[in-house]
Amino acid sequence: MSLSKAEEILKRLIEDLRSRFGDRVLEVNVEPKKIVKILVALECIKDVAQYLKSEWAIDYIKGVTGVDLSKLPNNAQEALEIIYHVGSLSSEALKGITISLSTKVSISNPVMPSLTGIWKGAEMHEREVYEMLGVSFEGHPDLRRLLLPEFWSDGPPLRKNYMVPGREGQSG
Amino acid sequence: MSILRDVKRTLMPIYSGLKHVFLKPYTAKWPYENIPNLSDEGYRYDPKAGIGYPGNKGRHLLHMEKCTGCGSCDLTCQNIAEAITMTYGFDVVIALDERCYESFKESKPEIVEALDAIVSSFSAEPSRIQYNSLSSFLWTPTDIKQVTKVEGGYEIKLNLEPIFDVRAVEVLYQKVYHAVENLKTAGWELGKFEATTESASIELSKQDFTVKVLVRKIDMGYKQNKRSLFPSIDYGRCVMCGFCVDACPFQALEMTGVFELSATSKRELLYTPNMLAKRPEEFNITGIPPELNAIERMRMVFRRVW
Amino acid sequence: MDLHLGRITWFQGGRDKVAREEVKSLEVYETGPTLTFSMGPQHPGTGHFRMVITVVGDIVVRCDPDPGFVHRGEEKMCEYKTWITNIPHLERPAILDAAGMTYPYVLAVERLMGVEPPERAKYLRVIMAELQRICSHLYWLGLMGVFAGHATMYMWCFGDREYLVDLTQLIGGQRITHSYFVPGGVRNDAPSKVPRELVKNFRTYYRMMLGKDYPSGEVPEDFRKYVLAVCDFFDTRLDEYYPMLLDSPIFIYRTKGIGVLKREDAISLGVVGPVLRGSGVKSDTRIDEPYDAYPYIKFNVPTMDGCDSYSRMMVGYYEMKESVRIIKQAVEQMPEGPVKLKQHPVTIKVPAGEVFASAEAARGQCSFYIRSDGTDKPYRVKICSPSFRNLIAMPYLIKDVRIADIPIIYWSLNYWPVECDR
Repeated sequence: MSLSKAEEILKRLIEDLRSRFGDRVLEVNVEPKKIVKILVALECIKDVAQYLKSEWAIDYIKGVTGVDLSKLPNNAQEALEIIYHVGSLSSEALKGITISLSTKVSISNPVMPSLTGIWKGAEMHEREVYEMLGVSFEGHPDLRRLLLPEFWSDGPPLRKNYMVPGREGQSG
Repeated sequence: MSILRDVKRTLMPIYSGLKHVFLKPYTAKWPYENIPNLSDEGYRYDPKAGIGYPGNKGRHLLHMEKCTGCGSCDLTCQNIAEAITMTYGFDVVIALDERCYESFKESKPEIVEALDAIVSSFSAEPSRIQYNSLSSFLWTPTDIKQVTKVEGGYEIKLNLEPIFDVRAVEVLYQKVYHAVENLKTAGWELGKFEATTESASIELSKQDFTVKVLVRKIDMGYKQNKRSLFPSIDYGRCVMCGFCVDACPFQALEMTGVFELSATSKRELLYTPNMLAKRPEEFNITGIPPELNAIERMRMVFRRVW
Repeated sequence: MDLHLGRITWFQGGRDKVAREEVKSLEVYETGPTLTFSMGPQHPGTGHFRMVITVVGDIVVRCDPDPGFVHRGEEKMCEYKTWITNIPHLERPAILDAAGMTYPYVLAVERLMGVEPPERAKYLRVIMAELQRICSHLYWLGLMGVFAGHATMYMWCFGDREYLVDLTQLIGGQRITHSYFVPGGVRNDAPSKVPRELVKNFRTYYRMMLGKDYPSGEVPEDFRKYVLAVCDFFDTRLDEYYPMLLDSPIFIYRTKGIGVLKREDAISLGVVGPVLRGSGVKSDTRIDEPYDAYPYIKFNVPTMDGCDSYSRMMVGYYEMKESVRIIKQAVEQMPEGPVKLKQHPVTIKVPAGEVFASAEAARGQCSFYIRSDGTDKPYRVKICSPSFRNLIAMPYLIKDVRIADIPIIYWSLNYWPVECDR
């Protein structure tokens, strides 16, 4: 599959999303060979995910990432960015393309809808984000700790205000 | 036919195992034999070409005549395993004034007690310490390297390998601390205490006697390394990635094929620059241990099944 | 409760189906006494990993995987270390497959920097990655033999693995964790000569295992030819593995029809690697998003339609054959030239940005999401490791099976606890 063909399909996909969801698609960042990122508003992420799955056959979840944006040097924001890396196995044309569907939740109220109903495989990934960044997913069937020990009582470790004991002085 | 095939395939593993009863064992009897598959070449890095040479990543080899003590290896390792520390070499001197030295020669119990405690805290062999802590002048000649007369007294230089550490006060603290604690209970009082990076001293006094323990930096005498600063590697932490070799701009560090780094205590895994400078041949532990008797040696050689 | 669940017919496959029907006919299945216990984290075939299992009789009705015993905070650690010094600790999660773990990281950093490694480095990376894939798969196959009560396979796999590991050591300097890949190439070139002792030993081993001398007399000391000789030898050995383990009636009885993961489930659960391909989905990162030298090399992606433990093992077996093919082609096609870009050995500059890069590790697709803020350290590194993605399949597979089948299903997923926990 040539790269240009995939890019063309991606372009169509993004235009389709833009026309359907309007300005709720906040930001689109397509860099060839790097990342295809679609930032959408929090209230419509479930609709976008559902639309992507039903219309574009995006059915394969690769991972869920949470990023704490509070210490970015240029545009620090009091927000967490949750990114769903999704791809497609059913559609030949979109094979090999990873779409990073992302949204932002505020640090003060980190609640967002769970996408396990759309991508079943997101269950474990969301559990990990829940414990590592303290984001609670509404509608998740089984939101428990996964990797951290039971006696863990500090804050979520992957947030930037959590300092690793013994490394407080170092930037991280 | 299919049942026959199944039976044959079920019995095949048994046949395969039985075959080896009659074959010569293939296993190398390490550590009594060398492992033949390894090349002796170690990983090296050419900073000019910016490329490494293939080789095993085993124990390091430090070329002291090339090392400038810049600390690039340390800086790199701080981010990886924190195994490398830049260290100075120190030696230990006990300074006595003339009267003390005379009474030491006469084996006055107080002064012998103090010196015994200090010397034994540097000694690595506990059995010898007990022998020496008799109240007479029974030190083995190996304990004292040199007695020099200096202004206002004598300096007793202990016969030690250079102690490598980051600061002089660390040596004092780690080595002399327990002796000082013991002496305090015996009535000795702490006097003046001085500490800089390169030297440290502590004074102990009881009645009229005054004993001074001095830790001084050794000058290794390398032109390119005036500070005599060299890396020590803690193999309890090292992951043998070889990025310290990459980082060295003077090719002073390289790696060897030696992987036999076992030790019975954590302290033995801390390799000082002097140990790192030794060629791997001097470090080879492979082979039949010499303390075995003839029959055991024969058993080691001819034993077929372990 | 009556624990006698009836006669089990041999050599028919689909054993768990029989068991399930029998259990459902028992009334206790829904309402009767159940027993919940924890399997692991001491090694019942599951090192450093625990499953909370609920059983009726010896039929599992519920399985709750509980990872995290070897969680080391790799992702947080990445934020404290610089771009290149991250590499040694990133290969620790999967030491048998260190190349597979660092490959996507290196690709990601290269894409952020906007550089391409030299041609020769691309081939060397492919050789290293495939060598480690074979080593990892041999470990998988060998331990599968142990779990299925077939210890000969374990000995064979580990004996043959030795020569492939030695190749890894010749190139990368270490048997497993070599830190060989760096952004901008590889750290050193392959050696031109192979130690004479190794060649001698290989010849002895060849004669012992195959019962004949190496065909053209002397085994060459030239590196390129030696790699080809080892590949040929290993290919022949792989042919012997098939009747030994994979066609053995005992093994087939233990694995066929056990742990069925249907094609649709495999896609919706997002599993990767041999688990996905064992369910009949033809997906491989090396083909879908080709990187480095893979576009220039011809190879197949084996898939099986059985969807069970046996299919997954077979996919692993055929993947080894394909890997041998890839190594042979890569060694023959490898051009001369530099292997690394001119750069500082430990301090590199990475511009700000985001990247998502994938590579095919031994256990499946391994992806890295990296966000850089332009400093000497990453802002965020996310590892989507294959074992973590396969973990979700476990509660679906370990259900309505016998306790004795749990190790088989568990190990057919090629699950590696450290890689999952990171």
